[in-house]
Amino acid sequence: MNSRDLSLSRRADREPARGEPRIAALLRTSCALAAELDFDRLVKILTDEATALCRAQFGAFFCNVKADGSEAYALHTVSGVDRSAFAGFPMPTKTAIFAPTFDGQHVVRFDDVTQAPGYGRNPPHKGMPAGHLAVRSYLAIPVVARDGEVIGGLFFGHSQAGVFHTEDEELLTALAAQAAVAIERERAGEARERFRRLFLSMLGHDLRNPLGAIAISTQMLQRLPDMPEQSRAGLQRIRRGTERMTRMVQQLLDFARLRSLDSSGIPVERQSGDLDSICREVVEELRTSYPDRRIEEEYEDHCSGRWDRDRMAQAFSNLVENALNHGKPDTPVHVRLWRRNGIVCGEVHNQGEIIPPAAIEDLFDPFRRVQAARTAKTQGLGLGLFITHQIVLAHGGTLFVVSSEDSGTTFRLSLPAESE
Amino acid sequence: MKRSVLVVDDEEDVREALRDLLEQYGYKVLAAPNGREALNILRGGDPPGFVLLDLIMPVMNGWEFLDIVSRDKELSRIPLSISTSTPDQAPSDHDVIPKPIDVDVLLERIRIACGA
Repeated sequence: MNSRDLSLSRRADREPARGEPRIAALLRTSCALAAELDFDRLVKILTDEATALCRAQFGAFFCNVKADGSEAYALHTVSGVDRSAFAGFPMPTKTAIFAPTFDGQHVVRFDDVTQAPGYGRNPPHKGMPAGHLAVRSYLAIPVVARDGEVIGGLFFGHSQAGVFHTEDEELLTALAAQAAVAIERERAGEARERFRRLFLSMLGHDLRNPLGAIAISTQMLQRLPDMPEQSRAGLQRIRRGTERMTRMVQQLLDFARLRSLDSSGIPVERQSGDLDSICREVVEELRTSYPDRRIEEEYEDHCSGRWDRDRMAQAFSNLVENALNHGKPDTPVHVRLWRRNGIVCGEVHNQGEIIPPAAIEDLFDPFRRVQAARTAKTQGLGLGLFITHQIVLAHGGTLFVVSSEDSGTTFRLSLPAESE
Repeated sequence: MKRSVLVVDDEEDVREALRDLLEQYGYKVLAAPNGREALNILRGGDPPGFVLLDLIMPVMNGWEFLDIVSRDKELSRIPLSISTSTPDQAPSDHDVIPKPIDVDVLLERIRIACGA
């Protein structure tokens, strides 16, 4: 007689009345499992709630820990008793009683495990290890992933015989299946996180290195004397393309970081400095890249404060280049900075096609771009404004845009200067 | 002042591009693909006037190289700039030139270290 038959044969006279509270508890636990993203906490919820649901004196989850291609099972979580109660056998062997659970075959339930066939014959303990909790009622549920991989096993015990019933089997089997899905999802999340880190490392190093070689070689060639005008123009195009590609790689890197599980926004390292000097440098660089365009500057005051110099330069560069790309080519881009009551305010303005009101709403979302205004000049990922917004937010500031036929398009930012 | 530069970078094209550039300005260029070979060059003979060091490299990375150099009285005196695509991971007590390298910035650092 197998374990299942043994339990079923006694079902009728031992089944107590069951009610809705257990179903409600099952649903609550299901919700908790669905919401949890951490493996250890998932298993803790599963073990604690399952132990309470079947009224076991103790419950335990043994985890399948693969080592060198072979399977082994380690005690992960204990509920209802102190962990020291399991000190006797933290690493169980696959005896006839445990095998169906660890092989993921079926539920095992004994009204009195000490009467089970084969009990007490397996070395080294030949029954319960010395000092182990007294167990007569025994229930074990395998936790199996959808691909058949055994994640582990849930074990429940009680010192009295006949405590567990068919309904316990059904409830805990349902719970174990839900937990398996949640654990699979957590593992998939972990795999995605590993891939994300690999991707970041590839972007940061492998992709930027060849760009570095192109940039250095281009600059070296541009410095050679007696370069024909045609070659000089060609080198300038290579340089601009390399700079654009480098910016896009940086944007992807920032985006990937911002979207990571543990992200709390773009990291900034503030130092004392003038925002206008950062802006002046950015404009000067863009004049080199856009020699045919006019950029007007207006700095009312030395806009001193504490800023992440590189990040603010990135933000201004994005805003001014955005204005150059979307502004009417024969009109200037206007950059203005001023300081009022501890707040540094800035504007980047261009004339040209306006941003439709509907597009303004999600202008700072990633990969969004105003398609109608897109021209051959605006090559990019649609991440520039998203990252600029994040940089401004990381400085405790605000960024918004106003756009109309009469006054053109103006991006306005306000940044608290902080103590200097 | 020594007009020689040691470029330590695992990307061969970056090493060769820097060699072409710096030779154009009259510098002698030594190159190593990792920290281990860079140490061999530094210990093997006439030390350069300036070291440009990448961080992420096989065999011996830039952090391990800096750790050894910082404990060597002679080698730690050589002016050094870190050139990296991950400047936020660079040790804070060293000069950093972010990649892609701005050639003007690099030439200025070398000029200060080696003389015009």
